[in-house]
Amino acid sequence: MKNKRWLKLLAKISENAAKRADGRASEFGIYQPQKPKRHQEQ
Amino acid sequence: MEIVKNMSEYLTDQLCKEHIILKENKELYEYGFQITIANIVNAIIVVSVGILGAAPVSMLLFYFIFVSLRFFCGGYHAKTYSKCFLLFGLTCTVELFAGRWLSNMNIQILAGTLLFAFAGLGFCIYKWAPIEHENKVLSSSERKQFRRCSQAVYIFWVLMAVILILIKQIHYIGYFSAALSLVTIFMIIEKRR
Repeated sequence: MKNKRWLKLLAKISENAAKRADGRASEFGIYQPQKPKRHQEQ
Repeated sequence: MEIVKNMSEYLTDQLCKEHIILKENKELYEYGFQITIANIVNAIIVVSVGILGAAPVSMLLFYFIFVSLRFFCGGYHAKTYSKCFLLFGLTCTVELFAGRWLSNMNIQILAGTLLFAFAGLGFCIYKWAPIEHENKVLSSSERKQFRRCSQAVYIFWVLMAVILILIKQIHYIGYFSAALSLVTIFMIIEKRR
């Protein structure tokens, strides 16, 4: 149960990171991860 | 080898197994995890170089300049995460030594370097920003928006440099110039590929 709470938190962090990435042209790190195609079309 | 990708995949699988996310959204969560993990590792690299080089504030300044400009200007990206972290570590080290070396110069040379760095970056932004990467295709409205953002961030850093000079924090100008030059170099490398 506790584990699931942590996983939900991780899911939220990941979702926010993906959303924030939409607001910029590139990642600052020297690697640009592939933006999901489905997400790209939206 | 690609520990960031493997970790992201593993975490996303766990979320699917526990029915926290839908399988069709897997790619989006993997993407989010990759960004989060990479940002954490990069932050650790900057802090480590800053502490080891006894210049934590200067490296923090570099971090803010580099991050804010790269977000909207774009530039060179490596093909793998291992190369990315290695190159980012090298970038931080170059920043540390170049910034320190420049900071020991007299005020005329410092001012000249800063002007040159701003002129170079301004030219690159005017010509190319934002530089698009094949892994993240931008729409025409995004391109316009990020171009405006890159110009706004550039102006913000010009003002910050002026404020630093006015409050006589000349010591940071060397680090400032080095950070601007590194962003410019990454933009030029990407355009010349």
